[in-house]
Amino acid sequence: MPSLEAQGLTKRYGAFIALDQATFKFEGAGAVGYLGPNGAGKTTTLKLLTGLAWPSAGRAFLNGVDIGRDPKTALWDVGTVIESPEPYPWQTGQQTLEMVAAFRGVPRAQARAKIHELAAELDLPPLDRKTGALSKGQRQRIVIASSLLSDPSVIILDEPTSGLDPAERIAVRNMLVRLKRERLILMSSHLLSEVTEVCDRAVFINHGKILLNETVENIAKRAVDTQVDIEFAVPIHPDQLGSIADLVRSVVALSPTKLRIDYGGHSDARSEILKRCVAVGPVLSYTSATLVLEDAYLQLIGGGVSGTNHLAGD
Amino acid sequence: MTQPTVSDAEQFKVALGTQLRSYLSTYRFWAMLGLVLAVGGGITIFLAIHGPAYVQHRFATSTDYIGAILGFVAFLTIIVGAFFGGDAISTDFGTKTGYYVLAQPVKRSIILSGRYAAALLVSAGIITVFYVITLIGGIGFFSFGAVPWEALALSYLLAILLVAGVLSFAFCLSSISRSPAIGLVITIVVLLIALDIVDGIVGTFVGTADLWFSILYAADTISTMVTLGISAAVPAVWESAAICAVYAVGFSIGAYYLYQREET
Repeated sequence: MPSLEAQGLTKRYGAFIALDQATFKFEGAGAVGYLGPNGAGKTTTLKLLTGLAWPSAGRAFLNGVDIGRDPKTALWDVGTVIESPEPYPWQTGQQTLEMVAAFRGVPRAQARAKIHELAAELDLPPLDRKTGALSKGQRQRIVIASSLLSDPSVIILDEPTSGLDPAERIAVRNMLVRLKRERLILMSSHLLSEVTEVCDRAVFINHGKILLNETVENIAKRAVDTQVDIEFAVPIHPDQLGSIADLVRSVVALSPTKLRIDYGGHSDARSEILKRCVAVGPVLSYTSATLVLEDAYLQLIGGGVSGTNHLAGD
Repeated sequence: MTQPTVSDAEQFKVALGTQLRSYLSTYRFWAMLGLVLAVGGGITIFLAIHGPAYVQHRFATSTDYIGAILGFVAFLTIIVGAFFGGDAISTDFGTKTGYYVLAQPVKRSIILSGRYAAALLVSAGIITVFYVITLIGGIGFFSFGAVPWEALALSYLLAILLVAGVLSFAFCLSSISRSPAIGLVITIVVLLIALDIVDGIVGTFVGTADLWFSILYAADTISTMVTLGISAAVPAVWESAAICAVYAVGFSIGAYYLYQREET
């Protein structure tokens, strides 16, 4: 069973503590989102987990193997993409991938078949071109492909879709959703929507401390929406929604057909609002205005936005 | 827990092959080869144009000729060592390449030793080309029988040991800077200028016979063992070999330690 574990992982740079006693353990297939603002300690954690940096205190285990004691065995069944790495610029994409396959003991024929498969799935750039001549997004796709060459049971990704265009992001996201069925994925990201779509669990970190480690499902259960977005098939002015005035705090037009309703968070009110809106005009969609993880993020970490949703309790 | 299925030896071969391809794919190897061909080949062609009589007038014996040409080896070795070793460690930490290479399931010692072996191979190749050119000149301008074969062979082996020492030194120095280019310059400056100045200062006080700490001092034997003879070489062959070996082993250990501890 794939596993990832940190035991009191700490990293100090002089007096500055980049990571403070991080402790977690993830086992089995699934995806974990690692969230926090810039400088929170996300990349530091991932570097310590993958042997790119050494802890000041604590230990990290990949599939039960201490990375500090036996990095080769610890990383053997682990694919990583940390900090938008750059392959050797003089190598072609094919050479880059074949080098990684050779290091990881993937037989040549199997490696070529896998490269072919990944090239199609990730829409890799022409593999006979030198990586130094590729765009950042193209290189990033090569690097993601290399992390998957040996079919590792654990995949650690640091902002995996950074530098990718929307279509590439969707392709990577879909692949991660497929991969997490059989593998354990730990991914840091700034994109809460991405984490919401891909991850089953979220870990929030700020100032080097882990603030929350919870399943997305449990976070959702505790989250209370206070705003919904409603989209009509025809233009609707907020004044036309007088029938819901007793249930809402405010109605703001986002576009001629889309409105944001602040209703206070009661589920009864939410369904009643929908019922009355349907009477006003044909409704195309009726969704929470913010993502569940945004609620948790804003409550735990902040970010200058207020008046959205709140975590109940905790 | 899945155990690795690839041995360290197999991964060493991958690291070695990758680094060899790196040298052959970039300007470095060809620039060095060009330098050797330009200097060694250029001198030989220049002398060939003037004919054997001209060479024999300038150099009384083949040992004088070969010894004089081999005087360039010390400089060549330092340049070669700096070019192939000056960015060995900084290349992983000055660029984002380290995030790619060091996150693979390969011991850092294996990556480093693969790089070192590749650097030693190409450096030895360059040195060999220079010796071959020197030998061709020696045979052409004098005679096959006039070539001091034993001294030349020993000189060649010492040159390889010297380049091993210089490479270890360069590998170690390459951890000082995070910029590969600066690492390369530092190596050249330290070996060609700083160490020479130190040699000069120390030599003033203690005499040139005691510069056992300097690899530049050891390099003198490469030509003097040909011109003066193996037993009369200054410094002594064993002394130079020992200095080069200590540099090769000592600085390799230092480079390994620094590479092991370095963080991306």
